[in-house]
Amino acid sequence: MENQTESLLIRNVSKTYANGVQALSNISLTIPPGMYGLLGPNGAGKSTLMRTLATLQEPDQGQIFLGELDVVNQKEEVRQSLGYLPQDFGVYPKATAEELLDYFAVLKGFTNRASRKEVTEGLLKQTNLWENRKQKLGGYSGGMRQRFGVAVALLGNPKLLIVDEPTAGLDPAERIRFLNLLSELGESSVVILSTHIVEDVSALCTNLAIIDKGKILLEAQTQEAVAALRGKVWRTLIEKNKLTAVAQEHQVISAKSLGGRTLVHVYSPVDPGSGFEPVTPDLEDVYFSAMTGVQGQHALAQEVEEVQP
Amino acid sequence: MKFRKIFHLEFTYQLRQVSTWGYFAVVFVLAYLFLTANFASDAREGYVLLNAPIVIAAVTVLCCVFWLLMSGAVAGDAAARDVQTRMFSLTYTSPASKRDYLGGRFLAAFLLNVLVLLSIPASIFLTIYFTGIEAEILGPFRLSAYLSSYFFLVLPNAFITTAIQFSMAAITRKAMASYLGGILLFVAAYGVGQGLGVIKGPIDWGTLVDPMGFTPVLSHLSLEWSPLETNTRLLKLEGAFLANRILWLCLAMGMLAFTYFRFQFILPETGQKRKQALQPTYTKAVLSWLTWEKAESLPQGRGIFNSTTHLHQLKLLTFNSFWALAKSKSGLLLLGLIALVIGFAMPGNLKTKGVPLLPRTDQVLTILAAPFTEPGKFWIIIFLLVIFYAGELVWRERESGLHQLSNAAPVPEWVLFLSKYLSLSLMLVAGLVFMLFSGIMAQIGIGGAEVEVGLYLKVLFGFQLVECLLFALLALVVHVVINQKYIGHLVMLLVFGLLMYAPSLGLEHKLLVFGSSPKWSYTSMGGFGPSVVPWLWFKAYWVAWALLFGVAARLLWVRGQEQSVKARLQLARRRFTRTTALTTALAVGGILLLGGYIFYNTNVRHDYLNSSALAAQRAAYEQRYKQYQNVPQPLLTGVNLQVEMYPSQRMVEIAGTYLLVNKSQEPIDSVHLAPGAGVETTSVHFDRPTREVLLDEKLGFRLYALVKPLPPGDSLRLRFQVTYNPQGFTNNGADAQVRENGTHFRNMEWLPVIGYQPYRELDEAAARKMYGLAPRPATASLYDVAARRYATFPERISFEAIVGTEANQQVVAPGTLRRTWTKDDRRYFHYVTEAPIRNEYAFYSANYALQEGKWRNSSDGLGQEVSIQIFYPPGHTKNSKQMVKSAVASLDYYTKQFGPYPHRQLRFVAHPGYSFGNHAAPINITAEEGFFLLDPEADERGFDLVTAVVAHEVAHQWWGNQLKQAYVEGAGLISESLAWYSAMGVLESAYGPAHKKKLLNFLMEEYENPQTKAALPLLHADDWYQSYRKGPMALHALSQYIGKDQVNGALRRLLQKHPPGKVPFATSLDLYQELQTATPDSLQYLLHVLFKANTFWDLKANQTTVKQTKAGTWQVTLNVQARKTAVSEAGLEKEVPLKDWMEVGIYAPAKAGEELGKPLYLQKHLIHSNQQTITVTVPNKPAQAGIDPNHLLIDWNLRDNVAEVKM
Repeated sequence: MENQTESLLIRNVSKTYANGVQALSNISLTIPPGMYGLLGPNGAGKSTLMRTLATLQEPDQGQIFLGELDVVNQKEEVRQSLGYLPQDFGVYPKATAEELLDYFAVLKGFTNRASRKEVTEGLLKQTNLWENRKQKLGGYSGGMRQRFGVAVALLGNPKLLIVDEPTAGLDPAERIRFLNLLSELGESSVVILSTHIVEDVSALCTNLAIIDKGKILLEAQTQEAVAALRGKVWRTLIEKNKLTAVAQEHQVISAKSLGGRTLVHVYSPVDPGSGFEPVTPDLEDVYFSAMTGVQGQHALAQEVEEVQP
Repeated sequence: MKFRKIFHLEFTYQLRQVSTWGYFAVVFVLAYLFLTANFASDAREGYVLLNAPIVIAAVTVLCCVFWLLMSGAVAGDAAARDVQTRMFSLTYTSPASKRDYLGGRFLAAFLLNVLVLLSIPASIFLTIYFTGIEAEILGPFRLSAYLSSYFFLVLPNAFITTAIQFSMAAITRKAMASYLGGILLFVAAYGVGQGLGVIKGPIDWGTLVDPMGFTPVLSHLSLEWSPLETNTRLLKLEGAFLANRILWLCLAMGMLAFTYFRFQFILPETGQKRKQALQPTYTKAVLSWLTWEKAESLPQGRGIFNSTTHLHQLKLLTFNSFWALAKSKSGLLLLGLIALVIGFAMPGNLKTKGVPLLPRTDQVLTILAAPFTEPGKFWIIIFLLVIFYAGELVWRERESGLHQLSNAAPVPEWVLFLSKYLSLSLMLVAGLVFMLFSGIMAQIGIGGAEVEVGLYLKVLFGFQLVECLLFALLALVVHVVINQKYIGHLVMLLVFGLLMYAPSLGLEHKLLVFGSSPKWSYTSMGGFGPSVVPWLWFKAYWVAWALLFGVAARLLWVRGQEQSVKARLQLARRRFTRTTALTTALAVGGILLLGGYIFYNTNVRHDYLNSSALAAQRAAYEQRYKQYQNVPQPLLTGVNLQVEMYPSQRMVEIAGTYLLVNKSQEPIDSVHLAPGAGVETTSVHFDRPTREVLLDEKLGFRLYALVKPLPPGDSLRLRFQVTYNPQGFTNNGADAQVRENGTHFRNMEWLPVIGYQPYRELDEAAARKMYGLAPRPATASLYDVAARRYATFPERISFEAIVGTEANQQVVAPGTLRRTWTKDDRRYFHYVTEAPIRNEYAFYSANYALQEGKWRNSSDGLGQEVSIQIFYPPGHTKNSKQMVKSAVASLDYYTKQFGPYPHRQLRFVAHPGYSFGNHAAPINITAEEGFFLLDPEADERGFDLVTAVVAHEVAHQWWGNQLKQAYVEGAGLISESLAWYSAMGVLESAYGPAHKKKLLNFLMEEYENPQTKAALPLLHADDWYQSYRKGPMALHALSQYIGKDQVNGALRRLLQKHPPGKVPFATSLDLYQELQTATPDSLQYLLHVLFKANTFWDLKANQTTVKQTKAGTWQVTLNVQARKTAVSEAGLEKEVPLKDWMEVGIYAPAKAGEELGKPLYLQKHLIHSNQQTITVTVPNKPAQAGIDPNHLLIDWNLRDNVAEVKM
């Protein structure tokens, strides 16, 4: 049983759409095997990057390597070890899960009937669709359909698994099970989880990158990024109308309503003083501080050196 | 308010779409093309003014019908966009009422369609007035012409179409449904409407079922209206057209009402029924989800990737998409239905002139197979379906959303494209299998012919499959490349239209029109002949193109999100591998090599002439050589030929000698020779010294000067050699005159002719004008005295030929077969005529079956004997005995009535072909193969067309071969009309009056076909109806008034005064003169109105009452209504005062199956007013009474002449 562990290298990848939107701007990332979180708000360029990695889109420039494979020029070979769960997909409503999975198994190179049966059975059980395998996909709920997508993505034990916003339509129980499933796979392959839900990443990913407006704001190990903020995040509960005043004085990284008042997190290497108490930072603070430009060298650096050869 | 908002949003949304304006542009261009490519040339020919109201209406309906094919998008989008874009959850839950929602959307779609169709009048107007159309072909501008077209055609059509399409899309919630609705309407208008239009009867079904008003408008234009009417008459809402508009508007409203009640603001998927089915499994899933704990380790297998995998994938994808397509409602079910309809329509289609045909396999296959460049009425539907299927296939993954998953699967693009292509091909194979069964079932159902399965397989799964595969590939490639479903359909429809109409758009060379090739042909007698080889070359050439297109489709196959042209081209560059390069090279190499070879054949080995080059050549011929038309030339009097035919090698060699005599009054110093076309004429040699002055091979004119002029009365011999050895093929295929079995060629095409040939001149007025030729009527005027000296091939010749052919074949040529022998494995035949024949003859060589008979002349006392021979394709024994019988009866009757038959043989000779036409050359009458398939026994009318046609053709041995008509107006009257009139006499005397009556009924069937009354008087007749229908009826009427013997006597005298070879040739005026002599003064008026005026009667029996007299007899009082009109050539009707003798008949009750009972009274009465009451006493109880009950006078309404008698 081969168990190669190959990293995914993304080098200087840029993409500008025909309408002028720059979706990716000189992105470079090194993604080791294991779970990798790609965090960013909607419209940050996550899906563009995911599709580019999934061989479905051409970058304007830059290179991508999966181990020895050149993703841009060796699409066919990459696809042979690729699992892709897109953000939004459909199915043939009149086909059953078993039929359609069998169909995909052939597409993924399982030409032997016996081995195909074994693989699809395993995956149907794994994704807990075994009981519903004879049911038409048109009658599936959102979660079941999502699990079916996972089964398809997992076919053929992919070396590169790309999951784009997978938990958006899932109920809490489904979401937890789904993340567990991913973490199992993450042991041997590169698994990229693109999401705007911070908890998904904090629960699973050892490494992460935060992306916004096509640029990488932060690339770090999850633990280290959180650790770096330790002692630098403070919070206070204020009246709604005082938020502006606080923002003028402090570097606010997040503010949320709490029982009619506003809970404010600020970044400050030293104690900001009255009314603030220290917070044990979590990944959400990392995310928000990166988004507000407080943390993350990439963001500042790239703002300056935006070069387009 | 909501209504307005919904309407406004929809309207402006679609107004901003490029496609909406695309439709506008396409319709605009269509209107321009119809006007300039079709109607403008008609106008220049003088048929109808370009801006005549009916032309505007015709362009409008034509555009409407083709617009149907692309109109689905607007209505479909308005009705189903919310579901397809999944916006329904927002719109359906908003508080707009059904009325506002559907009403607003519908109104928007309707107005958008109205806007799109506004391009028709706009385009017509701009084309007519701003594209440099000459003023001569325009009438005055009339706003009413545009308005009537707009309000009676465009607006209702837009409403009907939008309503039906909108309803279908709203109910099914699929935009595609409205596209299908468009196709259905198209079929109803273009197929069914036109098809039913042929059916005669009191109800005009063709007009009624046609949703676009296409059928009535085109039939007004081309058939029913007189020239005067076509130029000036406005389209009005009346009669069947009014009924049509009301019917379809009601249907459309009905559809809308149905939609209104049926439509619900919920999605079918979330409807009650499904929800229940879903519920239990959902709970179960949740439960098992929560109890599920142990995660098994993930399966570790990996896929294997090699060429076997790709084949596996190909198989899977092919069958997957094939079954998806096949199982849908428009899949196998629809194809099966179409085949079923074709099968049921077969008996109706296998008829000619109403006579059923034996359903021989090759005849059935002419209906079951058609190339996509000329698809015919059935295949056009299947090819349209193929376009639809191609769209469905290309868009299947994307429409279901599965592409998001499948695009990243490791399947190469060529597998994806090829799988779609193969599944479409499988659909077509299935369709062909259905066709096979439908054909076989129809054959068995009709009965009487053998089912040749092998031939079916060859034609359907050989020739037709290749057509299907090429078209399928094109449709698929267009959809892949265009990558917009509706625009893809639109583009493919346009491409399809271009392919069909390419020749009329000036693209005549088949190397330039995708998929086109010379046609293959097969008949049971002639086999495939040389037609297959060129077909194969052309198709191979197009297969090479198809390969190239396939490569392009693979390179441009869309797999990702990004679909801009730039991105696709960038990707295509990346996909261009070594294999791609090799395949491309192979395709391009194939195109160049095959195309090169074809070009070598069509343009190097043969002169490629498109129609305008051909016209230019004819013009040049006239310009250069017309000066020689009246230069005296020696007359051909003897022909001696040595013919060697090599049917298998498609070669013929002829060595000939002509005997030429100077019959003019002056010496002749030069001979003008017109060699045949398509052959090589060499070794031209005169038996006295000559000089070659001019050899114009291109135009076909040679001039030899005689060193010593030929004095009057002296003769000379001309020897020549003609070789027919066609090399390869032309753009129209290989010449099939000489073929393995069924060789047939005529002197007029191959052998040299003396003198300038006026029949080679251009006749069409516009073409003459274009090439600067003097204007002249297409047919010379009856009063053009000089023209009476010209007829086609009128020389009287003695003929002798020795013809050799392959040992197993029989040669037929004019004259007596003196001897036949075999030498060097070849058979030779020596034919000699005993009496001079007209200079028109043909040679036949084939494997024939022979039916023989004899006719002995009992009246002349000399015991003249004529042997009658029917050379027919072996196996078709059915009609040959009847043919002999009819020929005997004809000879008997004609010799008695008109004069002797000068020859010792009379033959009918078959030659390969589908059609049924006969051509009567002296002695040998050519009958095309189809004639032997006629099955008059199965004719419901009980009419024996075969016997009648034989009598007609034999009559041409007198009318046409002895009496030669001058090439002027009215020529048809003294060849065709006399032939039919004579045939009536044969049927009456030899078969009985009932047979003649059936022939009359058959001729009168033409009355029910819609057509204009406008025409020249019969004496000037030059159209088909006048020569073949009205002429015979007029002669028949005259014979019933003045007596048959009088008319026949006049014809006999006509022939005596114009013996064969006498110049000037006879005209209809000579016929008229003889008839005049034979007609008593009291009936001279009738002769005049029948022949010198274009007269129609309108006769009707109104009220008939009867009462019994005291004596026991019955007194019938009959009120008749009568009208007589003279119609000018332009269509001006003028009522003429009545003073006509007409038959009045009283009839006993009819027996079953009879039209009329025994006549109790039949006398001619003088009818002198429009209403007249006639009282007659008859001995027995009458049932019916009427005026002109035997339809002697020309009255197109046959039904109201006779009425039931009331007590």
